Amino acid sequence: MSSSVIHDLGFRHYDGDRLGRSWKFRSLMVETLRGIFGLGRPAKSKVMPWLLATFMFAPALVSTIVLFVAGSGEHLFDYRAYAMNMAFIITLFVAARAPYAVSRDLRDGTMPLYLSRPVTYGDYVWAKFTAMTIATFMIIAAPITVMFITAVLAELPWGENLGAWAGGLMVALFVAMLLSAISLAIAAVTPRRGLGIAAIAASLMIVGAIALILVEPYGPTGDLAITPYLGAVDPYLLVNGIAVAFFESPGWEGLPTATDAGSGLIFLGLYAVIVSTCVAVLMRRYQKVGGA
Amino acid sequence: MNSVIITLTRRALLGKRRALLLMLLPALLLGIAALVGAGNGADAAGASGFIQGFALGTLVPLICLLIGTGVIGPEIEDQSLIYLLAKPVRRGTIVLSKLAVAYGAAVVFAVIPTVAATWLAGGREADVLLAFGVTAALASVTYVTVFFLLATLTRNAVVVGLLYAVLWETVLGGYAPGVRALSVRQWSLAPAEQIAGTQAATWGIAAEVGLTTGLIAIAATIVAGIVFSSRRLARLQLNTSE
Amino acid sequence: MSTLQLNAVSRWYGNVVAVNDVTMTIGPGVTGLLGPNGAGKSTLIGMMSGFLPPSAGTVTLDGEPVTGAPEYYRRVGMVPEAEAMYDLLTGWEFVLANARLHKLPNPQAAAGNAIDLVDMREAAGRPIGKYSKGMKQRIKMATALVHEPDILLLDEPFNGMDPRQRMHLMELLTELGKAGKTVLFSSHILEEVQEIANTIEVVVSGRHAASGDFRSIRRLMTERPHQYVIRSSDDRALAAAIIADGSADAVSLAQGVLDVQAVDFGRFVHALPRLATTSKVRLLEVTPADESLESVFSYLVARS
Repeated sequence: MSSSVIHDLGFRHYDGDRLGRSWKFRSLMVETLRGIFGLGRPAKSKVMPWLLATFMFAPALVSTIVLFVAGSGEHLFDYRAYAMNMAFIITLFVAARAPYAVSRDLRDGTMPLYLSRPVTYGDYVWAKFTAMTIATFMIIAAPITVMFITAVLAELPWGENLGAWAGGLMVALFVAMLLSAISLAIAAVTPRRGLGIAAIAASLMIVGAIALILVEPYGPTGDLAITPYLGAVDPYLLVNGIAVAFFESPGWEGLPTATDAGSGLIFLGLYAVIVSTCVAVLMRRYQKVGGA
Repeated sequence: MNSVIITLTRRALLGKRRALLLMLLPALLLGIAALVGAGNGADAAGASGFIQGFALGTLVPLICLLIGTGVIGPEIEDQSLIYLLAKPVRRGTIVLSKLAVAYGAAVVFAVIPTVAATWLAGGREADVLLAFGVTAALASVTYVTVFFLLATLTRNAVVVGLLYAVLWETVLGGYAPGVRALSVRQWSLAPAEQIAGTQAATWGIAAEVGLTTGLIAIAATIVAGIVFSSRRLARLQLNTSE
Repeated sequence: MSTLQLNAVSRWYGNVVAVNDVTMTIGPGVTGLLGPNGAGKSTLIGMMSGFLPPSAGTVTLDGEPVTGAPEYYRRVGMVPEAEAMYDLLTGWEFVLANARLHKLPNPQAAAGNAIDLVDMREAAGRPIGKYSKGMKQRIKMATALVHEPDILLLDEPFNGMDPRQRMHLMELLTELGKAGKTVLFSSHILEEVQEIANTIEVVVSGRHAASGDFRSIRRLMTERPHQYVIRSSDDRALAAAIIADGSADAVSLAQGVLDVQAVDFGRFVHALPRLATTSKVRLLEVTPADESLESVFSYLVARS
């Protein structure tokens, strides 16, 4: 007979209400979103996201100055093509911040800590994806909203600008979701932060360069009917296709793109395939961590 | 230079996923160059436009960025650099040994592919090949040194490097001519213009700066990069976490 | 025989003071640097190893200032806290590379010796990336020993080792200490330090809290009377209750506060709330008058 005993140290069980699953999702999401912008972190972590977010405003400000000083009567850039014009900065933003959002937990081995709480890997992936999407959406939506406000102040036609601005917000959302999905998926398979940044930036820049070569009218396949779709290897041009087909975007840099709703559906289908593939990659990556 | 550091650096650089990315970029350059060549035939001017825009404008800086930050960044990030620093080895020796590996890698992954791509894209004349070979070599060495220095200065080296290589050299350069003179790409293009000689205009090779200015600027940048990186390593505080 | 001397050393990062006015001498033999996580142990080792310049004060080795000049590392071996090494190399290749970096005349033999010392002969052919935590610690130890330094600075060397490996390393450090080497290791676990260190330096919140051998530190602390400053709703009633209880041997009333000198720390902190309740006095504030020693004390007692 053993004389062992567990002493009652007075710890009590918590029997009260617990905040539900959606709360956990929200906490993880909000914390990631704050972290992406370096909020609640040392000044060093704030430099890059805010610098890039500031760059995003540059064309909007230039356009506003031209609007007021020169009285040009319209903004220099279309709301719906703003993201395509700023593709490089958006690429750098997701490249710099997506590894922060996901790869640290993998490298530091903190994943099992999350997953030993009632947070499933699915919740985790969706929370990170949502946070990254919101962050990216914000840096695109903010400057075009500034453009809309200044357009109203300059007494440009109301209805026209309102419609275009709303379209611009939709385009921003499409870009944000797609870029977040791609960058998080790449970051999750390159757990070294520096390499993650390089891999995301390089991949996005390269597909961008390939797309330009493919769709340029004098390019090797310029005369083919599939030319507009070739551009879709670049995520920004893919969304540009959607923007032209559904949100009456004037397009970007006069690149050939399909304008009818039918081809818009093809773009939309492609879009869905890419986003869901990336999310599936993320899910698989974190499922493995959870199981191990 | 120190052969042990060279070996360690080489093995780390060519290990695993970074090497994959490093192979992918030149492969892509060659693939697209072949496509361009197939479309254009032996057209030196067309090849020149493609090489200057795609190879020198995007891929060479990108490859050099991966190499320059890759030979030191990961060791700073995970603090394993401490094993090199806690040795009776001068900081300058560490920098030079690592840069030697980086330069070698840049020749393999950036310079040779650029020359091959020039040929594939239709620039078959010896002078065109030589011109872009020299330009790619000068640009690579300079970019690698600058990005190496950046990696010792900031954890955001890759992003800052890209901002410089793309935003400064390509976008801002398009608006402000003054900016274009302060560009690694323009400096490296200066010798190419000389080599092309009378053909420079036909091939569309025009540098923003003269030969002497370009070469001096490149030499000064490289020396400054090496000196500042060495100083930075002597003062690097590895155990300060974010 | 080498002696590291820290003289009024402080180190701060921005507004955070990591090490505050520390003066200590680390001579031949095994010294344990004891303190809870975040006490400033790694910062101290960083300064001793020449990687961190002190914000104030000086660090000297046998009278020569430590500046991190490359030559310094001929005499010093380091085991850093960070786990990362060159994961693609095998343990053997890595130790050999370290021997070569030290420009030893016979790197092969030196690397072999070091690997034998840490008992890693069998696993030396496998890549470091595949090692367990304890094996990584031992390979790190081998890299620090490969050039037979006079001074060894080890940051948490026992982390992740199993009991057998721990014993082995403890024996090794003891031998090195006996051979006249200056060995300093940090730990937050009392037993490790107690077992092998001839001298213990206790660091708490960046301050040098105690120094000496374990038994005398311990005695100093338990026998030292503990001072408390107490504010309550009725100081007089509480004073009477404390004196009557006998858990303190001096109580004085002054300027609306109660100064208490307790003999037995453990008994007093347990008695105080009970006394307050029975005499219906509300405690407004209880402050140990000597905070740093207090925290060291509770720290040592809680773990021994």
